[in-house]
Amino acid sequence: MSSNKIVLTSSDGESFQVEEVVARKLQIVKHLLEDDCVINEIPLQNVTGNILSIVLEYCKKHVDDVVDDDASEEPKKKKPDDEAKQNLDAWDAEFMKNIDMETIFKLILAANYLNVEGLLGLTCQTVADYIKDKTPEEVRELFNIENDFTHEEEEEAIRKENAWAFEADTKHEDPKP
Amino acid sequence: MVRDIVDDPLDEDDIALVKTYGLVPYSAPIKKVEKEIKELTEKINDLCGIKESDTGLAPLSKQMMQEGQPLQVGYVSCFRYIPIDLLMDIFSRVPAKSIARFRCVSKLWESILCRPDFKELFMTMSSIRPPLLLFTFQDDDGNLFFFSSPHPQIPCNENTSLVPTRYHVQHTTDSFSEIGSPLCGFICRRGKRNLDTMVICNPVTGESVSLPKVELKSINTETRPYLGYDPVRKQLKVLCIKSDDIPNTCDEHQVLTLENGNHLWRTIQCKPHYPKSDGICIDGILYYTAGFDMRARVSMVVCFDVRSEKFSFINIHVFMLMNDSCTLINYKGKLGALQFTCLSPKRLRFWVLVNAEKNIWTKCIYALPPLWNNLVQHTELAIVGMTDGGEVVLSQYCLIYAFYIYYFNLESKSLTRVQIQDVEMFKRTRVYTSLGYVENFKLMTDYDRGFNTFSPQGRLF
Repeated sequence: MSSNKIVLTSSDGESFQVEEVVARKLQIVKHLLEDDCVINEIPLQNVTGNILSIVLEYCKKHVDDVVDDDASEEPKKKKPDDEAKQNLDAWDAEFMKNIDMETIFKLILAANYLNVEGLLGLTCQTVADYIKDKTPEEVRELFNIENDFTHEEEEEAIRKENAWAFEADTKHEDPKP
Repeated sequence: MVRDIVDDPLDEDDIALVKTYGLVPYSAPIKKVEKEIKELTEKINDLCGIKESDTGLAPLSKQMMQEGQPLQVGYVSCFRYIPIDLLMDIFSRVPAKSIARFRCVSKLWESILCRPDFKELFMTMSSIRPPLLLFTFQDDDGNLFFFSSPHPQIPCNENTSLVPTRYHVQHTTDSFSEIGSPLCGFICRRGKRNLDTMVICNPVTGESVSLPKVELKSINTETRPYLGYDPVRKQLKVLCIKSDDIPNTCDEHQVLTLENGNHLWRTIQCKPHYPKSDGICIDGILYYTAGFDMRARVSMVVCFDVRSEKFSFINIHVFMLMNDSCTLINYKGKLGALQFTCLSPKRLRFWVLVNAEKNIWTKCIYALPPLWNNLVQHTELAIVGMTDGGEVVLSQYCLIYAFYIYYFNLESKSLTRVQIQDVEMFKRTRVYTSLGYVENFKLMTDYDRGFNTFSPQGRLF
């Protein structure tokens, strides 16, 4: 496995030179290389430079991850043991912690377009964890969503039907004695 | 060749250059068309007044970003560019309680969260995540209260407690129902007095479906329902085993497939036996212990293949000393069993069926740690099961003052007590604790006859 370098260029013209094995984490690149052509530079028109740099940082860290459709080019690749996995998970958590929500959404779109599976799952899970305890009002404010329900529809139908979901966890309806 | 940082998109020269790097012939026309599309899009955007060269920030904010100021709009502006399938991916990762709340965010969110393909995705993701603990309480009026909680992180400190999520309250007309273990998020309960009445309920949706009455041969016929899941056809079935007080007479049992529309029991044949334990479904086979009659010892493990609806039996030798309180578990994909010894000093027996064809079991017996006397004392504990991490989960049968569950690690001999909070109002009430609860939003109407169209990614029982 030669250590080829590939240049990836963002939509705003920023270029990144990375090892081929890192570039292959982007399935969109992997498919292009699959035809066995010699390509040294790949333009990625739907990703800006600053987002691409974050994506590549993730890919560099996860270059040794075992993937399901591994072409087994490197026979010495083995399943990471528990401690290594825990370290990777910790790195992922720290990595996400330093990124603001707006950028995380841009990362979701980029990971989807570039098809970087691990990153898509990580970013979606980060958003899920961020919003899961929010009230509907907080969610609307976060995403600038208009409430198009009438008062009756929202209050009567949905909230009543799902009353259990709106209880704070410490308050329960008492059963009959 | 490394390009300089420029603001223009690719122009004719660049395309020509990339061409020279040995791309396959058809990529040149594709690039040309892509370029044309891009130019047209830009023309349209200019007409609309939007300037977009990245994944879509509003022009004002983009300008502010370039000037080095933080984004001041106060909301996540590129959220509106997230396609629905990615939104569903995000939603499938939040707990059921959050989904239920998000239904009133907007009409669009409500419609996404009610889609059958979303419910299928949610179910798949729910099954991949570590399963939850489920606690079921019943009050004197027959109302059922369901609570769930994730397992605590073991090892944890002594004063760890869990605050469970409470679901819909189920109102029943038959008090003292027998409640089975959950499967795929559904629970089957049978009236304690009306043995011919089975009800399937789902704590998350609050749906409660009464099944048609089971045919009872005589007033002494007993019934025991079990849930089974066929992962190939993705069907959930209810198996109802009947037994008479005259042993060896009842060889007709009933099975029903849960789906939308009319539920009909089908009769199946099997040698007469008396079911004793709760059922556990592993890889499409339902297992439960049984004896020849109510008073006889456990002499077999019944294996019901949910897809083919055929029975087979694993003979349990008398020297194994398996008794009525033996709990069957899923031990790393194999059938396992746990049981306390009868004679003191109290110890824990653990069997694993390592070879089903040859009926070979490994048997281990574990002494209880000294901490048991302090933490558990004389409380009777039910063996709930074993977690993926190898912890045996034990639960009080009944709430006295506080409700505790216990985690016992057989290898390290550590014993951890965890309190379940916010259930104090159920004093002196029987509690059913189960492992393996998976949140599921599906209603009976979401189960089509025959095959489901969406194939789940993860392992499902």
